[in-house]
Amino acid sequence: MKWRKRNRWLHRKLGYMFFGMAIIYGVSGIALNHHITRHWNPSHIERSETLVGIEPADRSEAGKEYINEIVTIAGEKENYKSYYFPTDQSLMIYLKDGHIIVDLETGESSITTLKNRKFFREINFLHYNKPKQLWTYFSDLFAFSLVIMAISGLIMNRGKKGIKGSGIILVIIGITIPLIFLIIYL
Amino acid sequence: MKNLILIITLTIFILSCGSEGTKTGIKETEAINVSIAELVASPESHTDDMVSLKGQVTHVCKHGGQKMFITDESQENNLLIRVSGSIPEFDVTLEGSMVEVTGKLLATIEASEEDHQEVDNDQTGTQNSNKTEDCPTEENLKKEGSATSDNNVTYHVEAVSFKEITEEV
Repeated sequence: MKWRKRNRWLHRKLGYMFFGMAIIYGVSGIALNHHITRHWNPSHIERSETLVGIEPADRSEAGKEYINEIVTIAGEKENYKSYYFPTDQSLMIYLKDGHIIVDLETGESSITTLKNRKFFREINFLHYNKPKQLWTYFSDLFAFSLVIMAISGLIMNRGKKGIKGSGIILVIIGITIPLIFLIIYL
Repeated sequence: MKNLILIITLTIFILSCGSEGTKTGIKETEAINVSIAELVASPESHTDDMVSLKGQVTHVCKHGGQKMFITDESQENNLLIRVSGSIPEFDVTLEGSMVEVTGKLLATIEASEEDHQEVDNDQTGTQNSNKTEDCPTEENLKKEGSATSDNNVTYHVEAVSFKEITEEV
């Protein structure tokens, strides 16, 4: 039948056209899933370690000399940017790729380095629609095409290989699983 | 093949012709130069004004980079800055840098503590259950002199542009 041929053509062309988008949204979707459950931060690599040998100090004493001493101990003298007192008892020293937090009362300190996670940062940037503006329309087009591809895929084959055969069972399973989760968790 | 070329050409055309003039339409040139201290002291007098201010970035929200806090030289006045449609995100590497921000000062009516509690009790999911969990430093900074007024109104700047300035802090 002619409409079936056209349907197959449309499904194929959309599949080619949005191959890249499917990969971007699929891979970043996995990252997003695990970001929500706090397994890891998909956009940044964060590492913290304790610094030893930092003396306690009053806020009034914690001037440039004190900060210089800390960044020297941390081996981050070249990366020093600025400092800030979040509270009277704590000092935050900003570095190019991270920061040092000092408890002024005890001298307990830790250094955190923060780097952008390559590839995932870029695909998440797109998945979260951070470019906004025109990306919104393009990603809308992709989303709409996904619906078209889902429907065209459903009616692509005839007989036992089609929706009237085993296909309907898989469709029912695919709809039932999210429904079960909604019933249980919503 | 012809159809494919047509689709690609059309896509490129749409992408190229719409990339101009999408910066929200707010006139940046009319921005008033103000200090953070001035805004924190009397935010009501600048509500909905386009303002331009300088400050040190003390925190960038790592869950999306959609907001950051800046402070002034005294480190006692903090201001929340949010992105607008023309800024994708604030990069975490901005922390500790001096920035010049231009944007609109907006007032937001915050829900009361009781309302927050009710919302928290209603939600069992991990994503939206607690504002503080999303950005722990934010709540801390809000208490430390961020622009607020009576009646649970808080203020933030919706940035239309910003630039990092090289200035020793």
